[in-house]
Amino acid sequence: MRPARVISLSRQVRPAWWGVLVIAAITAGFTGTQSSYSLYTFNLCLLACLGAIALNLLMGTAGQVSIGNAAFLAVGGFASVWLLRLGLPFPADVIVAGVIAGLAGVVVGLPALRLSGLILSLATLAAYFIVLFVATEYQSDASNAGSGGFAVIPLFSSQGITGAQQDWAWLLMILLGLTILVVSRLMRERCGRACRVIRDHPLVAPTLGINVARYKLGLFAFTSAIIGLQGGLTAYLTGLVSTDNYTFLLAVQYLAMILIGGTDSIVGAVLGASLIIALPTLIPNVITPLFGPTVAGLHGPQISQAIYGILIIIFVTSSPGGIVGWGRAASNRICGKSALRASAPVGTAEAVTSGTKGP
Amino acid sequence: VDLVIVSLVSGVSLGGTFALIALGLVFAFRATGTFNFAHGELMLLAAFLVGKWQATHFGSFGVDFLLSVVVTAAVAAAFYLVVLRRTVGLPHWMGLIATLGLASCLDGLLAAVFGSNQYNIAFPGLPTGTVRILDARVSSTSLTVAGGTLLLALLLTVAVRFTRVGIQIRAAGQDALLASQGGINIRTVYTCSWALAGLLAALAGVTYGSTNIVNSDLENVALLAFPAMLLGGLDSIEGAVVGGLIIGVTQGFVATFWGGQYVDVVTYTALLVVLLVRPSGLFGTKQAARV
Repeated sequence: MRPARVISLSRQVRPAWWGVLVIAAITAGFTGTQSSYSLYTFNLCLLACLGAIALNLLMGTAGQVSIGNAAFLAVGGFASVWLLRLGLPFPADVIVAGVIAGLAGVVVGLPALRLSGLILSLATLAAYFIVLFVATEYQSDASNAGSGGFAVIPLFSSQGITGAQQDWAWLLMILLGLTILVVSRLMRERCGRACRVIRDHPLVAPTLGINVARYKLGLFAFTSAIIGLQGGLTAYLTGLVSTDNYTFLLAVQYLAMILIGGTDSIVGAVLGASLIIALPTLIPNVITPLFGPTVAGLHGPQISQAIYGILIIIFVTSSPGGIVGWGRAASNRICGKSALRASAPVGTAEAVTSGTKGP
Repeated sequence: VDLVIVSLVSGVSLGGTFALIALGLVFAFRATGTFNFAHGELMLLAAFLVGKWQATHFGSFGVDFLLSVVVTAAVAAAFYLVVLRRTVGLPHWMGLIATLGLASCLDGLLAAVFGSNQYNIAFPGLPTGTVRILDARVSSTSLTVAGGTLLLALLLTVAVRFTRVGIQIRAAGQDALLASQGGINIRTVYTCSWALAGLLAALAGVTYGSTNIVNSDLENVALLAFPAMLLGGLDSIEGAVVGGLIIGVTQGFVATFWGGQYVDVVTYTALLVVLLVRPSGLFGTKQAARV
């Protein structure tokens, strides 16, 4: 836990507004100059930022390990399709799908009230497979969905290819900005402090008057709703909802995002998400000169998969603070602060025995 | 009655494999306190190696098998030495994420090297054909696999309970600080535990591969063993064998009477129920503090 500092509200809120402004500027730059394919990647990136920020709030700030991220994405995507087929038009079905994902989050969060840390990850794993089962049944039962999944008419498709992507970029930018403002608010002050106490000292939290159950369930509901919203929007951007897209290793990508960017930080989540989404488009450029175009064409996705894994391992072992951690360390060095404050507190007994059992 | 016996035998055969996998997971968990999500990829690695070498007639089956076991155990031990050892003192879920990283890495590499090939592993000495038990036709292959894997799991359980190395592994898993004061080299023991986990993954991968087709779906089998591990109690070695059997037999019955597509969902629902009702499992250590 960082020492509590007394800073006026306006000074705390400002960085989030600056961040939103920077993202708006980048969006303006991209929509003005880039081709429709780059814009499509940029939009996927903005969508991933939404999910990464939510997962970061759940895992990085509150310490609730969730490896079932793909489950909530699937709930969002399939609930949108289900509602659309029931006759609910675009904005409403995605919003209701988000609510459904939030409810699913509460159900998955219920075990979190009794289970700590690692064992919770098994509950989210179970949730993933149960959701996938329901989705597969729905997909195979639905009349006009082939084995490939449901086709959704992409939004803004009347605007032409580039125009549609530009509209998407602005829509997603506004949603991302709202999310950043809300989450940055949640990560500070009373709520953020409570979350970090729940993360670092789960037994102390109730004695400080923190309603642990309410915080955990609330966080699960809120973050799952955002991830579900992301799932619904992804369906409308890519135009396809299929169980094949929600693999277990998709969740690993999101873990890689928040870990590489830096946990417990919105900037970290955004940086990590951008890096992970941009990686598959960057990798062919690196592989082609090394191994030739055939290898790059055949094994591009597999190689990016392996690189995600290697990146995770490198960051876990050498810089668990992520990219944001580098920045913090650098600024501390420049400002001459002692390195002690930057490093995470490590108990001596824990340092000897940890790696054996959880607390 | 026929159906019951058929599902019982196929269930026990599955259960033997699950017992081997769950044992590997328990050893890794006791050593470093993390779930090993890369276990399935380790299984796949061993199965792919044996399948590939058999297809290209590289060495005899015994040599292939031994080599693949050694490679897998070496990968697991190296992962502990290079990666997990450095997560000491970090938040406890860092190790778990590291195993997911290894899973992703191995998954990508295996897919790039072996592609979407499928292999058949011919386990020499396995009987083929069917046997009649009480009027039910039962594949003698799965009967032998069931017997073999269970025997192996039981032997290992006994070995861990009574040999010197086994006692060291158990002691280090219970209380690392106390064990190190008792003259046990914790690092060596943990490396051994991870090597053992890799070895068990290889055994499970090859035996499962010898009764099924070897392709990338194999890695999901290890995820199905987590319920077995939890049911037995996360840190209980005997529990892993019992849990594996129970889950395997349940799956056998579900597959026979309801259909194969319900296997996963029933298994994971069982996991959720165990989590909510009895988080310490059948034989596990109870946590004193509830959060």
